[in-house]
Amino acid sequence: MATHDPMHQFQIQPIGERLILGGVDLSFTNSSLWMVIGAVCSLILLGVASSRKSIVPGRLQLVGEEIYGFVENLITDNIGQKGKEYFPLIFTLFMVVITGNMLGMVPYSFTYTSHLAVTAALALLVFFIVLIVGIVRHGTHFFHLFVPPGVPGWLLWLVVLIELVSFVSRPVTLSVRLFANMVAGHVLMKVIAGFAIMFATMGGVAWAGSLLPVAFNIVMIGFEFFIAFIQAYVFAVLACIYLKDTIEIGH
Amino acid sequence: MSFTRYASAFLVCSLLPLQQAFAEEAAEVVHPAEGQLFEMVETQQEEIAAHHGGGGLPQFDPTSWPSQIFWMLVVFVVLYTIFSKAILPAISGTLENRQQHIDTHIADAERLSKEAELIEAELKAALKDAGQAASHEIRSAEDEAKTRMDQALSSFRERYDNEISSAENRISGARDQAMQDMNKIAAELAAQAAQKLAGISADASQAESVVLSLSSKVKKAA
Repeated sequence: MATHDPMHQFQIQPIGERLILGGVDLSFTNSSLWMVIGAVCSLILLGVASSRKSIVPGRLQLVGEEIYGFVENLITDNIGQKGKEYFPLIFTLFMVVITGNMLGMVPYSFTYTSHLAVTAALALLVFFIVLIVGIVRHGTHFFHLFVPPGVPGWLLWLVVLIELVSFVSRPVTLSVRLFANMVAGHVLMKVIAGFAIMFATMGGVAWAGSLLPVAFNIVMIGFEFFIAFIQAYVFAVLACIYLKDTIEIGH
Repeated sequence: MSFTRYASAFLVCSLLPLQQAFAEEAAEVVHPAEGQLFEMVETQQEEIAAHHGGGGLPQFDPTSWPSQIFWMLVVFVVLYTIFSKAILPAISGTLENRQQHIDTHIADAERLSKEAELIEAELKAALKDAGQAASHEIRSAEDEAKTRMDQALSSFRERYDNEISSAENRISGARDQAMQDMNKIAAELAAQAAQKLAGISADASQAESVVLSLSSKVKKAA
């Protein structure tokens, strides 16, 4: 059956009319719908939280301030005081990824961070911002990023090659890490749930066989919430580290 | 951690055909008579095949990429704008306001405690001064009282001594007078007795000199 297929949850389905601009299909899909739901949720949460400005915060205000403080610490720890100007960028990245990951835990929802296109878009965004920031800040000196100081001349070509490859592979690893984690977790949960349903529909005492997959899935759900948070955190931390590398190019 | 996750995912994926086989079997067991179901399953599997492009991940179907990237960027830009223009300044404003509030309160508390320390020091100094002044006053009062007592005692003693000595003088004067009077009386008595007994009229002054010489002899003998 279609709903038993663990890959069905990643299916992209258009909602409403197809939107084709210049021969490119930009239709509003279930993926887009959940992006909008995530954006609305985070805007409502943070909007309400930031509209309360009392000296002694209430619960909701505290949630908003804790998220703010969390990202702020992340930036000051990884970039330092220079990182203040990139605060909105890192904050938005973190919020987009964590809402995607967390909404993915809602049954029948769509996990937009489980699609390589989305994570690659975010990773490339970080990549190009790092590139632009580096060139704007340092000009041609930016290319010293690939030439670490103190390397003997005969080895320089190899080191530059390695640095170049590691720089270019950043968006690949950044996007694949998030996408693969989300896919692996969700597939695993769905497959285990499928085993439970299989045993339950067999008839007779076979239903008892579904107890183990159900118990396993309960643990998995808790673990997946942890993964959802940790992957958003890792994404934001790596974006910070890439920015820092570029801001502080060795002389 | 990641490695084991991927490994388990691959393991599970390799188990998939087995599970589907089970599921089909189960469907057969539950509804053996309904031929329609098989058609349904078949058509659905065809649909899946069409969507997946042969059972692959929907993530690798490039036709959906432009739409996803487009909407992700739209959502990102909208969120970035609202976060950076409205929400983040509001929260940082609240946090700064709170920090300022706390800072001013701490500064006030420090200032007040310093003032309190000053007042305490002043109070201690005042207490010390007052104690010194009081002991000084007590000492001077004691000294004054002592001198006054000494004065009063000495004047009293003087007066007392004067009175004693004057009384002694008066007593000795009175005694001398009495002795003289007694000599005179004795001489008169002796003269009168001599006249009456022997008919000798004795001179008073003669008699007196005799008495005096006698009494001086007595005194010497004593």
